[in-house]
Order: sequence, then C-alpha cells, then structure tokens
Amino acid sequence: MTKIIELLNVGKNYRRGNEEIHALSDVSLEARTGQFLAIVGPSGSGKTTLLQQIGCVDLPTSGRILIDGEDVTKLSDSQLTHFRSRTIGFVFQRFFLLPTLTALENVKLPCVFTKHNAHQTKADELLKHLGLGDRLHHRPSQLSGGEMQRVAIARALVNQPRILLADEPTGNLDSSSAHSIISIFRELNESGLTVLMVTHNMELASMAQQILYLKDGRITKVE
Amino acid sequence: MNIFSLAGKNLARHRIRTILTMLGVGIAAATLFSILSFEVGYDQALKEEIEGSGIHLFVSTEGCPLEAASLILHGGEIPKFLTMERFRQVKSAEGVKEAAGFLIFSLTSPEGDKVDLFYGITDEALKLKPNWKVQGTWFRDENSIILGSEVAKVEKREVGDKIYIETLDLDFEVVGILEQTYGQDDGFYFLPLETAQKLFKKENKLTAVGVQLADLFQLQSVKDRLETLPDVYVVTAEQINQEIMRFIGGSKALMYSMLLIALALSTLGVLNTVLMATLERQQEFGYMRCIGAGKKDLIILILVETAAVCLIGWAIGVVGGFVFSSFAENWIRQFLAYVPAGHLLRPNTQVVSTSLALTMALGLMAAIYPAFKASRVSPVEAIRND
Repeated sequence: MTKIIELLNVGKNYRRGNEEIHALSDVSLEARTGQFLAIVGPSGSGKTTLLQQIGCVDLPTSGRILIDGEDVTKLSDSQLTHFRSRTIGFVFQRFFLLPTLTALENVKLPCVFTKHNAHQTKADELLKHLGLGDRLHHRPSQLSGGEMQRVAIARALVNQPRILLADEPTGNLDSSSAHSIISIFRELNESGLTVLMVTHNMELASMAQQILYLKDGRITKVE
Repeated sequence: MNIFSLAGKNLARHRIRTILTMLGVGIAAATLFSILSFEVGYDQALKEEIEGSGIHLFVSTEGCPLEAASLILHGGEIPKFLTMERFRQVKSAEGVKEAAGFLIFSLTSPEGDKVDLFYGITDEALKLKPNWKVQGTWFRDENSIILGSEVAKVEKREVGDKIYIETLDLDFEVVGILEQTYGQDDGFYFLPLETAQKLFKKENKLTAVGVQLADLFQLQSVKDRLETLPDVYVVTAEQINQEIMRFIGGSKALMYSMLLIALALSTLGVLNTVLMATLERQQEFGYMRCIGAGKKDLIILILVETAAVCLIGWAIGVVGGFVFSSFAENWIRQFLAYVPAGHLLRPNTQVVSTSLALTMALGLMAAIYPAFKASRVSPVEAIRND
C-alpha cells in the first residue's frame, strides 16, 4: 500500500496575546492508503491542530506535509482549496449542517463549490446507503443527532475523497447513535477509504489499526 | 443545487429581515424611479407645452420672463397692461405671422372662500393653443362663455346650460367646454376678450400677447424689432424654457437631496443586513471553506444574495412607483412653482434601466465589505470544537 499521508517534523506555533503556544512540536507520522488511524490525547494536546494540518485547512510553522504525494505546504490558498475538495472529506462533532437545507441538499453542498454536478446524483444514493432514504427531504431540525451525523458523513463522501478526517464524530451522540456511526466508519474503511479520527472515546479508537497518543503537541506513543 | 438556490435558501433563513431590507430598497427604488420619471416628464411636458402653444415670442409689460410665460400659458394677474394699440403694432410688425392678446383677471367671492379666474381671449388664441379641444362651439356673442373642464365639473354645467357667476353677478350661456388639459386652463372661465375688457373695466387693455413667427430664423431680428416698442418686454420660448428650468432648479435640488437620503439609508440598510448575516455565519463560511468553497465562491455567494435582495426590492419599488405615480405626481406638484400641463412622471425604458443599474450598483457596493469579510474567514474556525 502507498503512503497517502506523510508528516515530516511538523511544528505549529501561534500566539495568544504575548504568549507563544507550541501546539505541535516535531511531529512525524505516516499513513498508508486504506489505513484507519486514531489520534487520542487529553484536551489541549494538539489533536485538532494536527487534524487541521493534515486536512490542509492550516499550514504548519515548520516541517513538510505530503498528502497523496503532494507537498501541500507549497500550495497557494486556491490550490489548497481545490486539493482539499477532491482529496479530503471532513466529519465534525457539531455536524455543521445548514439549517435551511434538506438532508439531500446538505449532502450536495460541496458539489456547488467543486462544480462536480455528476457527484450530485450520488447524494441520494449515499443517504439511502446510510439508512436515510426516508429522510432525504427533512431539514436538520427534523433529524436526530445520529441522523445528522450520517448526513454529515454522506456530505464528506459526496466528492469521493481519498481520506476521511473525523474530529470527535461521536462527541455529541448517545451511545446507540455512536455505535451506528462507528459501524459506518468501519464499513467505509473496509471499502478502502483512509480514515483518520480524533477522539476521546477509547472504544472508538480501539477499532483503528493504529492509535497515536498525543501529549503537549508531541506523539508520545504509537500502538 | 447551485449557488443561486443556495443564496435563496440563505435569504429565506431570516424571512422578516430579508423582506424588510427588500422593502427598504423598494422605497429607495420607488423614489429613484419617480424622480427620474419626473426628470424626463417635466422637461418633456414643458417642451410640449411651449412648443404646443405655437408661440415663439411672449410679449408683456416689463417683468420677468417667467411672469410672461405664466401669464400666457397658465394665466396670472399683474397690474400692468399693454394697450390694444401696442397689440396692433406687434401684430403688424414685420416677421409676425400671428398674434393673440389675452386679458387675465381673478375675482374673489364676497365670502372670500372662492376665487374665479377669467381669461379674455379672441379667436386667435385657438391658433396659439392648438392642443385645445372645445366641446360645443366657440363664442357666439358677448354673453357666451367657455368653461374649463374642472370648472364645468364643479359647477355641474353642460353645453347649452345657463350659468350664474356670483362674483360678476351676471348670467352667461355655456357654449363650450374645454376638454381636460391637465393644466391650469381647466380652472378658467373663458370670455370673449371684449366682454372681459368691459367687465373688468380694462377697455383697450391686454395682460400679454403671444406671437407666432412666419420664419423662425428671423426670431432674433423680430425680437429686437418688438423691443423697440415702449414698455414692451419680449422673451423667446427658449428663454422661458431656460428660465423655468432655472427657477425650478431649487425644487429639483430638494428632490435630489431627498433621493440621496433615501439611497443612502437604503445602502446602509443593505450593508447592515448583509454584514449581520455574514457575521452570524462565520463558522458556516469556515466550514464551507473546508468542503471546497474558495474565497471567490464566498464572495459570489454574498453578492448573489445581495443582488437578489436588491433586484426584488427594485421590482417592488418600480411596481410601487407605477401604481402610486398619480399620488407622487400630485405630491410633487405641490413643491413646484411652475407646473406645465400634462403628466409630469413619464417613465421610459431608460428610467427603468437607470434605476435598476443604480439600485444594483449601490446594493452591490454595500455588499463588498461583508463579502470580503466572509472570504477572509479561516477554515480553521470550522474545526474548532470550543
């Protein structure tokens, strides 16, 4: 299997007032296509910052990041936008569904920006596959937390990304909904999708092939 | 789904706010539409009135050109008169094709609640007022009277009726009724010139004379020739046109000030709404950046949303402008020192397109800052869980 994510001595510093924060220090890691990685660690350990670097939504202060063979630290803002849209899918704890759009429209939303009209037809299919065939035209306010997260997963998948990044995807869900989401991630990974997930939930992390422990911006252990 | 349907859904999120902003734009657009229509309409109406009168030169006793115009076109009273001898001299002057004398008077009822306006004219007036259409006949004798359409309506008189005029304490026979001119002529009692001169004890006197020339190229030379006559003041139709335009310049400036205020308020309203909607959606924009929206996409989204508000607001304003044009016209008339006959608001395609272009341009200008702000949102904002 080829390397799809590679971080080389990545550091990320930012300022909060007069204080310099070292969010990530000398982080190196790699993931191969089809791998399932979990990143765990206490609050403030730099998990989300790491996910932001891998998701190309922020650039590191030092080091290099190669995604699918591309050094993303050398890309311009518009190149990063384009790269992100075709390579990475995001799932967040808070779903971020637009309240005025139906489930189907929310899933189609990324296609509005990528202009992949052909992918819009996949939205319906994805929602049905995730068990939301009878919820296509429901607005987020009419859906349960688990259903909203499934819509968010469908939205992350509509542009057929190579990597799925999830930040605490079960953080706002009850245990039954969380299990359902875990099953979906497992199924997606089994179908060949590379999944990288940030979580506090050790049960969720335990289904990953590799767990990275993060503390004070450094990887302290790999299992 | 596309950027337009997405913009529409976003606007529907806060319906009341969107509708109120549209109404704000609509009021500004209606004001803009009405004032532009007035700009076109007033100039046309004035030109038509002066050209339609067939009068090339206005002759009166010394005074200002506006007075002369007002006297002949609409009536008015000044305590200075031309003599019939002067009229004959004007009429027989070289280069004059036609000339008509007018005597204009007003009388107030003993109770002081009514003012009757009288216009003494001859057959020659018809040649200088080609727009006049008289139902019935022209004057048959000294007791004949022709009523302006408004007077006929108020007095409930028809052709052939008798009419008692209280201020004169006399009976007349209504031989004709002037069809509506939408000008001050509608409010006059028209009498044969000689009758008017006798009744008002101004025998041999005229208020003003309208002159039509045989050859317009001789305008200046005829004017110079007539001005050699004593106590005579001569102005051209063009001078009157310019004077009137200058005279109402102040009223126009006032209207444009009101327009500027309406446009400024509307622009600020749009800016406020769009900025508020943008600030509320910072995290949403950040998330959109994560899923593939570029800075340009967010700018386009905000501009499309604003354009939709402005377009619908403009449509409301233009429809409102058409529907309430007669109300607006009556309202505008109150502010003007000189109002020509005919409609003052005359919208045309240029007015419609100019009002659309200006409304959209101002609205989109107001959206530039919010759009820029939306494009600056970092996608990092979306991933923060705090």
